[in-house]
Amino acid sequence: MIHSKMSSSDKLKLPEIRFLTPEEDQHLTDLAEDVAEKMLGPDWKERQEQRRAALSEESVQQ
Amino acid sequence: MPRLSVYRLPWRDFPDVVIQTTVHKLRSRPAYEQAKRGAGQAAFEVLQELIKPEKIPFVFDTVVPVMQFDRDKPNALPIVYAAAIAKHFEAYLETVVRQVNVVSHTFADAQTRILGQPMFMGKIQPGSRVVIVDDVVTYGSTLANLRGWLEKQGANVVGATTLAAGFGGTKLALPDIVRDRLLDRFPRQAEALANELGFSAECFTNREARFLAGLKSEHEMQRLIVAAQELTLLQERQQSLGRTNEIDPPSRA
Repeated sequence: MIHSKMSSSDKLKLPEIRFLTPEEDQHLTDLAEDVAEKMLGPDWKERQEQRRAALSEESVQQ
Repeated sequence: MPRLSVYRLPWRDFPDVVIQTTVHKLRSRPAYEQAKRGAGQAAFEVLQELIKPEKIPFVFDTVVPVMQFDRDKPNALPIVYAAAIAKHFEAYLETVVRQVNVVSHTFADAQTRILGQPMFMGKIQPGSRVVIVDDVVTYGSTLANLRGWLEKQGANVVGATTLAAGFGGTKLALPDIVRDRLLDRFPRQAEALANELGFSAECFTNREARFLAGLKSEHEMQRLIVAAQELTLLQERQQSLGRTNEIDPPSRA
Protein backbone atom coordinates (compact mmCIF):
# COMPACT_ATOMS: atom_id res chain seq x y z
CA MET A 1 0.00 0.00 0.00
CA ILE A 2 1.27 3.42 -0.90
CA HIS A 3 0.89 6.09 1.76
CA SER A 4 1.94 9.61 1.30
CA LYS A 5 1.85 12.80 3.27
CA MET A 6 -0.31 15.20 1.37
CA SER A 7 -1.54 18.58 2.45
CA SER A 8 -5.30 19.08 2.70
CA SER A 9 -5.26 21.68 -0.05
CA ASP A 10 -3.55 19.22 -2.39
CA LYS A 11 -6.06 16.44 -1.83
CA LEU A 12 -8.85 15.67 -4.26
CA LYS A 13 -12.40 16.57 -3.36
CA LEU A 14 -14.07 13.29 -2.46
CA PRO A 15 -17.25 12.34 -4.30
CA GLU A 16 -20.37 12.16 -2.19
CA ILE A 17 -21.22 8.53 -1.59
CA ARG A 18 -23.93 7.16 0.63
CA PHE A 19 -25.70 3.87 1.16
CA LEU A 20 -29.31 3.22 0.20
CA THR A 21 -31.83 3.80 2.95
CA PRO A 22 -34.37 1.01 3.67
CA GLU A 23 -37.04 3.26 2.13
CA GLU A 24 -35.03 3.66 -1.07
CA ASP A 25 -34.40 -0.07 -1.18
CA GLN A 26 -38.14 -0.68 -0.94
CA HIS A 27 -38.74 1.96 -3.59
CA LEU A 28 -36.51 -0.01 -6.01
CA THR A 29 -38.39 -3.21 -5.21
CA ASP A 30 -41.76 -1.55 -5.80
CA LEU A 31 -40.61 -0.01 -9.08
CA ALA A 32 -39.20 -3.28 -10.40
CA GLU A 33 -42.29 -5.26 -9.44
CA ASP A 34 -44.60 -2.66 -10.96
CA VAL A 35 -42.63 -2.64 -14.23
CA ALA A 36 -42.44 -6.43 -14.33
CA GLU A 37 -46.15 -6.83 -13.69
CA LYS A 38 -47.04 -4.38 -16.46
CA MET A 39 -44.59 -5.78 -19.02
CA LEU A 40 -44.52 -9.48 -18.17
CA GLY A 41 -48.05 -9.95 -16.86
CA PRO A 42 -49.65 -10.22 -13.42
CA ASP A 43 -48.43 -13.79 -12.89
CA TRP A 44 -44.80 -12.93 -13.72
CA LYS A 45 -43.52 -13.72 -10.24
CA GLU A 46 -45.08 -17.17 -10.21
CA ARG A 47 -43.74 -17.96 -13.67
CA GLN A 48 -40.33 -16.61 -12.74
CA GLU A 49 -40.20 -18.82 -9.66
CA GLN A 50 -41.06 -21.84 -11.79
CA ARG A 51 -38.24 -20.94 -14.15
CA ARG A 52 -35.88 -20.43 -11.23
CA ALA A 53 -36.79 -23.86 -9.81
CA ALA A 54 -36.16 -25.43 -13.22
CA LEU A 55 -32.82 -23.64 -13.47
CA SER A 56 -31.89 -24.80 -10.00
CA GLU A 57 -32.74 -28.41 -10.85
CA GLU A 58 -30.75 -28.16 -14.07
CA SER A 59 -27.66 -26.88 -12.27
CA VAL A 60 -27.91 -29.67 -9.65
CA GLN A 61 -28.09 -32.31 -12.39
CA GLN A 62 -25.00 -30.85 -14.05
CA MET B 1 -23.17 -14.49 0.54
CA PRO B 2 -19.95 -12.46 -0.03
CA ARG B 3 -19.49 -9.37 2.15
CA LEU B 4 -20.26 -5.88 0.93
CA SER B 5 -17.33 -4.83 -1.23
CA VAL B 6 -16.27 -4.26 -4.83
CA TYR B 7 -15.68 -7.48 -6.78
CA ARG B 8 -14.09 -7.66 -10.20
CA LEU B 9 -12.57 -10.28 -12.44
CA PRO B 10 -10.03 -10.04 -15.26
CA TRP B 11 -11.83 -9.49 -18.54
CA ARG B 12 -10.63 -12.48 -20.55
CA ASP B 13 -12.63 -12.33 -23.81
CA PHE B 14 -15.66 -10.44 -22.50
CA PRO B 15 -17.64 -9.17 -25.53
CA ASP B 16 -18.30 -5.53 -26.35
CA VAL B 17 -21.44 -3.98 -24.88
CA VAL B 18 -24.42 -4.14 -27.26
CA ILE B 19 -26.07 -0.74 -27.57
CA GLN B 20 -29.37 0.39 -29.09
CA THR B 21 -28.91 4.08 -29.90
CA THR B 22 -26.75 7.16 -29.31
CA VAL B 23 -26.58 9.13 -26.08
CA HIS B 24 -27.88 12.17 -27.93
CA LYS B 25 -30.94 10.38 -29.28
CA LEU B 26 -31.63 8.79 -25.90
CA ARG B 27 -31.47 12.09 -24.01
CA SER B 28 -33.58 13.80 -26.68
CA ARG B 29 -36.57 11.62 -25.91
CA PRO B 30 -39.26 13.79 -24.25
CA ALA B 31 -39.79 11.41 -21.34
CA TYR B 32 -36.07 10.83 -20.65
CA GLU B 33 -35.74 13.05 -17.56
CA GLN B 34 -38.87 11.59 -15.96
CA ALA B 35 -37.61 8.07 -16.63
CA LYS B 36 -34.29 8.88 -14.95
CA ARG B 37 -36.29 10.04 -11.95
CA GLY B 38 -38.12 6.78 -11.46
CA ALA B 39 -41.20 6.99 -13.68
CA GLY B 40 -41.75 3.51 -15.13
CA GLN B 41 -44.31 4.67 -17.70
CA ALA B 42 -41.92 7.39 -18.91
CA ALA B 43 -39.15 4.80 -19.28
CA PHE B 44 -41.50 2.64 -21.33
CA GLU B 45 -42.20 5.64 -23.59
CA VAL B 46 -38.48 6.31 -24.00
CA LEU B 47 -37.82 2.74 -25.06
CA GLN B 48 -40.69 2.46 -27.52
CA GLU B 49 -39.40 2.36 -31.09
CA LEU B 50 -35.88 2.81 -29.75
CA ILE B 51 -34.86 -0.74 -28.93
CA LYS B 52 -34.54 -3.92 -30.93
CA PRO B 53 -33.99 -6.77 -28.47
CA GLU B 54 -33.04 -9.06 -31.36
CA LYS B 55 -29.76 -7.11 -31.65
CA ILE B 56 -28.60 -8.96 -28.52
CA PRO B 57 -26.61 -11.98 -29.76
CA PHE B 58 -25.91 -13.75 -26.45
CA VAL B 59 -27.26 -17.08 -25.23
CA PHE B 60 -28.64 -16.47 -21.76
CA ASP B 61 -31.43 -17.38 -19.35
CA THR B 62 -31.37 -14.47 -16.89
CA VAL B 63 -31.45 -10.69 -17.22
CA VAL B 64 -30.08 -8.49 -14.43
CA PRO B 65 -30.65 -4.72 -14.61
CA VAL B 66 -28.55 -2.16 -12.77
CA MET B 67 -31.09 -1.26 -10.08
CA GLN B 68 -29.79 1.95 -8.63
CA PHE B 69 -30.60 5.33 -7.19
CA ASP B 70 -29.18 8.28 -9.07
CA ARG B 71 -28.94 11.00 -6.45
CA ASP B 72 -32.40 10.95 -4.85
CA LYS B 73 -34.43 8.98 -7.40
CA PRO B 74 -34.38 5.45 -8.81
CA ASN B 75 -33.42 5.10 -12.47
CA ALA B 76 -36.31 3.35 -14.25
CA LEU B 77 -34.56 2.94 -17.61
CA PRO B 78 -32.41 -0.16 -16.91
CA ILE B 79 -35.34 -1.94 -15.25
CA VAL B 80 -37.72 -1.33 -18.14
CA TYR B 81 -35.05 -2.22 -20.72
CA ALA B 82 -34.27 -5.44 -18.84
CA ALA B 83 -37.97 -6.33 -18.64
CA ALA B 84 -38.31 -5.81 -22.40
CA ILE B 85 -35.34 -8.14 -23.01
CA ALA B 86 -36.69 -10.74 -20.58
CA LYS B 87 -40.04 -10.65 -22.35
CA HIS B 88 -38.54 -10.97 -25.82
CA PHE B 89 -36.23 -13.87 -24.93
CA GLU B 90 -38.53 -15.45 -22.32
CA ALA B 91 -35.71 -15.11 -19.82
CA TYR B 92 -35.75 -14.76 -16.02
CA LEU B 93 -35.84 -11.13 -14.84
CA GLU B 94 -33.79 -10.84 -11.64
CA THR B 95 -35.05 -7.99 -9.47
CA VAL B 96 -33.28 -8.77 -6.20
CA VAL B 97 -29.74 -7.68 -7.09
CA ARG B 98 -29.19 -3.98 -6.57
CA GLN B 99 -26.56 -1.31 -6.15
CA VAL B 100 -26.40 -0.48 -2.45
CA ASN B 101 -24.42 2.74 -2.60
CA VAL B 102 -25.42 5.92 -4.37
CA VAL B 103 -22.54 7.35 -6.36
CA SER B 104 -24.38 9.38 -9.00
CA HIS B 105 -22.20 8.83 -12.08
CA THR B 106 -24.50 10.76 -14.42
CA PHE B 107 -22.53 13.79 -15.69
CA ALA B 108 -19.71 12.99 -13.23
CA ASP B 109 -16.07 13.53 -14.20
CA ALA B 110 -13.61 10.68 -14.68
CA GLN B 111 -12.05 10.93 -11.23
CA THR B 112 -15.45 10.79 -9.53
CA ARG B 113 -16.41 7.75 -11.58
CA ILE B 114 -13.20 5.92 -10.73
CA LEU B 115 -13.32 6.78 -7.03
CA GLY B 116 -17.05 6.22 -6.61
CA GLN B 117 -17.17 2.49 -7.27
CA PRO B 118 -20.67 0.95 -7.14
CA MET B 119 -21.24 -1.98 -4.75
CA PHE B 120 -23.93 -4.60 -5.21
CA MET B 121 -25.97 -6.94 -3.03
CA GLY B 122 -28.59 -9.61 -3.70
CA LYS B 123 -28.48 -13.28 -4.60
CA ILE B 124 -28.29 -14.79 -8.06
CA GLN B 125 -28.87 -18.42 -8.93
CA PRO B 126 -25.43 -20.07 -9.38
CA GLY B 127 -25.04 -21.38 -12.91
CA SER B 128 -27.29 -18.70 -14.42
CA ARG B 129 -26.19 -17.41 -17.82
CA VAL B 130 -26.67 -13.70 -17.38
CA VAL B 131 -26.94 -10.57 -19.50
CA ILE B 132 -26.42 -7.39 -17.49
CA VAL B 133 -28.32 -4.24 -18.44
CA ASP B 134 -27.85 -0.51 -17.86
CA ASP B 135 -29.06 2.69 -19.54
CA VAL B 136 -25.70 4.22 -20.50
CA VAL B 137 -22.14 2.89 -20.28
CA THR B 138 -19.35 5.45 -20.05
CA TYR B 139 -16.35 4.25 -18.04
CA GLY B 140 -17.89 0.83 -17.40
CA SER B 141 -17.34 0.76 -13.64
CA THR B 142 -20.96 -0.10 -12.85
CA LEU B 143 -21.16 -2.99 -15.32
CA ALA B 144 -17.71 -4.24 -14.26
CA ASN B 145 -18.73 -4.39 -10.61
CA LEU B 146 -22.15 -5.92 -11.29
CA ARG B 147 -20.44 -8.60 -13.37
CA GLY B 148 -17.95 -9.25 -10.56
CA TRP B 149 -20.68 -9.49 -7.94
CA LEU B 150 -22.71 -12.00 -9.98
CA GLU B 151 -19.72 -14.13 -10.96
CA LYS B 152 -18.55 -14.17 -7.34
CA GLN B 153 -21.78 -16.06 -6.61
CA GLY B 154 -21.27 -18.60 -9.40
CA ALA B 155 -23.23 -16.98 -12.22
CA ASN B 156 -21.80 -16.74 -15.73
CA VAL B 157 -22.13 -13.23 -17.17
CA VAL B 158 -22.11 -13.77 -20.91
CA GLY B 159 -22.59 -10.18 -22.04
CA ALA B 160 -23.83 -6.67 -21.36
CA THR B 161 -26.23 -4.33 -23.12
CA THR B 162 -27.11 -0.68 -22.64
CA LEU B 163 -29.36 1.77 -24.41
CA ALA B 164 -26.41 3.97 -25.36
CA ALA B 165 -22.69 4.47 -24.73
CA GLY B 166 -20.29 7.31 -24.17
CA PHE B 167 -17.28 7.52 -26.50
CA GLY B 168 -15.34 4.25 -26.35
CA GLY B 169 -17.62 2.90 -23.65
CA THR B 170 -18.74 -0.25 -25.43
CA LYS B 171 -15.34 -1.90 -25.03
CA LEU B 172 -15.18 -2.93 -21.38
CA ALA B 173 -12.39 -5.47 -21.70
CA LEU B 174 -8.93 -4.05 -21.06
CA PRO B 175 -6.76 -4.49 -24.18
CA ASP B 176 -3.21 -5.69 -23.50
CA ILE B 177 -1.75 -2.59 -25.15
CA VAL B 178 -3.69 -0.26 -22.82
CA ARG B 179 -2.82 -2.33 -19.73
CA ASP B 180 0.86 -2.28 -20.70
CA ARG B 181 0.80 1.48 -21.29
CA LEU B 182 -0.77 2.03 -17.85
CA LEU B 183 1.70 -0.25 -16.08
CA ASP B 184 4.66 1.26 -17.95
CA ARG B 185 3.66 4.77 -16.91
CA PHE B 186 2.67 3.98 -13.31
CA PRO B 187 4.11 0.57 -12.41
CA ARG B 188 3.46 0.84 -8.66
CA GLN B 189 0.62 3.32 -8.47
CA ALA B 190 -1.70 1.57 -10.94
CA GLU B 191 -1.78 -1.60 -8.85
CA ALA B 192 -1.96 0.39 -5.61
CA LEU B 193 -4.98 2.34 -6.82
CA ALA B 194 -6.72 -0.81 -8.07
CA ASN B 195 -6.10 -2.49 -4.71
CA GLU B 196 -7.55 0.48 -2.84
CA LEU B 197 -10.65 0.24 -5.04
CA GLY B 198 -10.99 -3.48 -4.31
CA PHE B 199 -9.47 -5.30 -7.28
CA SER B 200 -6.27 -5.71 -9.31
CA ALA B 201 -4.98 -3.55 -12.15
CA GLU B 202 -5.88 -6.11 -14.84
CA CYS B 203 -9.56 -5.59 -13.85
CA PHE B 204 -9.68 -1.92 -14.82
CA THR B 205 -12.03 -1.25 -17.72
CA ASN B 206 -10.66 -0.03 -21.02
CA ARG B 207 -11.88 3.54 -20.42
CA GLU B 208 -10.70 3.67 -16.80
CA ALA B 209 -7.23 2.49 -17.80
CA ARG B 210 -7.02 4.91 -20.74
CA PHE B 211 -7.90 7.80 -18.45
CA LEU B 212 -5.36 6.76 -15.82
CA ALA B 213 -2.61 6.16 -18.39
CA GLY B 214 -3.19 9.71 -19.62
CA LEU B 215 -2.60 11.36 -16.25
CA LYS B 216 0.28 13.81 -16.42
CA SER B 217 2.26 12.80 -13.36
CA GLU B 218 2.75 10.29 -10.58
CA HIS B 219 1.50 12.98 -8.24
CA GLU B 220 -1.94 12.89 -9.89
CA MET B 221 -2.09 9.13 -9.41
CA GLN B 222 -1.00 9.61 -5.81
CA ARG B 223 -3.86 12.02 -5.22
CA LEU B 224 -6.31 9.40 -6.50
CA ILE B 225 -4.81 6.71 -4.26
CA VAL B 226 -5.08 8.91 -1.18
CA ALA B 227 -8.68 9.81 -2.04
CA ALA B 228 -9.52 6.12 -2.56
CA GLN B 229 -8.03 5.29 0.85
CA GLU B 230 -10.10 8.00 2.51
CA LEU B 231 -13.29 6.87 0.79
CA THR B 232 -12.69 3.26 1.83
CA LEU B 233 -12.31 4.36 5.46
CA LEU B 234 -15.47 6.46 5.27
CA GLN B 235 -17.53 3.62 3.84
CA GLU B 236 -16.14 1.09 6.32
CA ARG B 237 -16.96 3.45 9.16
CA GLN B 238 -20.50 3.86 7.91
CA GLN B 239 -20.93 0.10 7.53
CA SER B 240 -19.57 -0.58 11.02
CA LEU B 241 -21.98 1.94 12.47
CA GLY B 242 -24.82 0.28 10.56
CA ARG B 243 -25.93 3.63 9.28
CA THR B 244 -27.76 4.06 6.05
CA ASN B 245 -27.75 7.84 5.84
CA GLU B 246 -25.42 9.98 3.89
CA ILE B 247 -21.67 9.96 4.32
CA ASP B 248 -20.48 13.48 4.61
CA PRO B 249 -16.97 13.60 3.18
CA PRO B 250 -14.61 16.28 4.41
CA SER B 251 -15.32 19.41 2.42
CA ARG B 252 -12.45 20.55 0.24
CA ALA B 253 -12.09 23.14 -2.42
